[in-house]
Amino acid sequence: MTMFLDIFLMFLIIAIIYLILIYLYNHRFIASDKRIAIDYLPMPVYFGLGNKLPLVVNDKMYELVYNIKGSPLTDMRKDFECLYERKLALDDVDESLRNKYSNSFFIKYNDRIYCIEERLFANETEKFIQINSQDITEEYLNLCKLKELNEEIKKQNERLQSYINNSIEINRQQELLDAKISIHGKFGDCLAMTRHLLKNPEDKDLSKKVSALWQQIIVGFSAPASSTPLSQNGYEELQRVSKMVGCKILVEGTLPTGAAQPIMLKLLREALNNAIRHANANTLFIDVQDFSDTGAVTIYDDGTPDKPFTKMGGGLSSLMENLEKNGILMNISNEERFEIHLNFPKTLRS
Amino acid sequence: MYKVLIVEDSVFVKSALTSAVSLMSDYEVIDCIENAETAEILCLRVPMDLIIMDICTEGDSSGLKSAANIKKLHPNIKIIIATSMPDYSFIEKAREGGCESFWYKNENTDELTDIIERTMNGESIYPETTPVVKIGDITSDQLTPRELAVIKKLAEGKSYQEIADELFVSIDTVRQHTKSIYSKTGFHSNVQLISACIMSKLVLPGY
Repeated sequence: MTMFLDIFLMFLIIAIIYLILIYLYNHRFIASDKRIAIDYLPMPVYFGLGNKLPLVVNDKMYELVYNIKGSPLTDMRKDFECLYERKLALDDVDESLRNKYSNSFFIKYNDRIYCIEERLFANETEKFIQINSQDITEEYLNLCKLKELNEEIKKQNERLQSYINNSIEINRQQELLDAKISIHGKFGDCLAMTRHLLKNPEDKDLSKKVSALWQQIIVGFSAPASSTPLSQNGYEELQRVSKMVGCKILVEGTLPTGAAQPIMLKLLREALNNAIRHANANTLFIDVQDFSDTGAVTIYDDGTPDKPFTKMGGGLSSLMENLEKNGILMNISNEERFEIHLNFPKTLRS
Repeated sequence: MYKVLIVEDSVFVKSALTSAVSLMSDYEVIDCIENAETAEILCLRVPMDLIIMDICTEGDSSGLKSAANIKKLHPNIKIIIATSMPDYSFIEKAREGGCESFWYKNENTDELTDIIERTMNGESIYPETTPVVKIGDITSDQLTPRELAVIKKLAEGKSYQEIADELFVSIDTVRQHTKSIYSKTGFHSNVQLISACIMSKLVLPGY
């Protein structure tokens, strides 16, 4: 009985060892398995020696290069060049993609977009070349779609801005109309009352009322210190105000007009404000001598700053941001005196 | 004698305001300018007691921003905001900026002179409501303050996420408000909604 059990156990052990060996044999990792594993990679890959001899190419890369080239893959350099020849132009690829895959180029094949990258690496004895490819079709299409949507949003914003401008203009016109109606109404009242007064010249109360009403209308037309529309001569208003506050604006050259005028006015207001507040200045100098040729403007004042200039305040920073949006370069120098240097683009010089 | 500065860019409204103030005893118009930022410069060295400030002034300068700047440096100068824009946020912004009073422009300058007198006597006069305007199928008073805030932010070009961050709510709440606005007004897109709000001056971005 014992002997029977020993024999049974021995067969059992042999069977287990046999099964383990079979299992190990079936699951061993051989060179062909590596090849199959590379084929299973989601991206086309190509390995070669430094002397351009291909080592391993997976199916996806083989199919890609073979279909483009039309012949088997024998020389890695030529295979790479045939991919490079199909490179998409820079304008066809979104900037964000170019930045993301900065060492790569992009090709289009069978309506799919691939990004191709070549890498060199070496061990102690040999150099190797690796060509990776990645299918980025979805990312590319999404970015194209995003670009279209952004363009549409930009157009919508432009339309919106135009609505805003129209709305403000309509409001101004409405204010103008209201004021005209009001003045016409007062004129009507005045005329009716004057007519009544002429019929009853003895009515002293009426005479006083008519006189007050005419006075109101006449004052309304004559009193404003600056009754000319400033949108036409904003510089004159600023000159007048600068004299009132005791900080004259001295201009060398001719101040720009046209599209540059509203920007220049904003700039002068900020400079005048700063000159008075921070330097207690009495004169603000504007040098615009060669504006039409160079677009250069220099602004400085004769004040003494209450504290040394270290960094731009909120006013100057937002002004700089606003200027940059209009393509104007602004620099500040603070060596002998505080100076603002501006450079207007050609489009704003006429 | 109170010294008054008028900031107004419409020639005719300027005439009407100047005329109304000039006829008041004890009040003198020291100047009448078109740009709100220029008023900030004048305040630095010219003594004055009162400013009547328009909101949308020459060169797209905001009277509200300038009023707030002036109040920071010269808290003793009293400011009356005068506008014809029914933008719902202007009253709140004027209060935040420290302006004493607020007047919706109309042809009745007696109303203005009354506000000027009361303001100089230490009162603060603000209208209780903003003018009601039609937006799509409803009037502006049928929109909640939160819905108006969302419209204002949309008109400033903000995304839903940015609006959510600025109003301290979730993006879903912003979407919910937008849905509610659409269902009330009958509009189907932000462009329709915003252009209607801007045309009716319910919101004016940038001021």
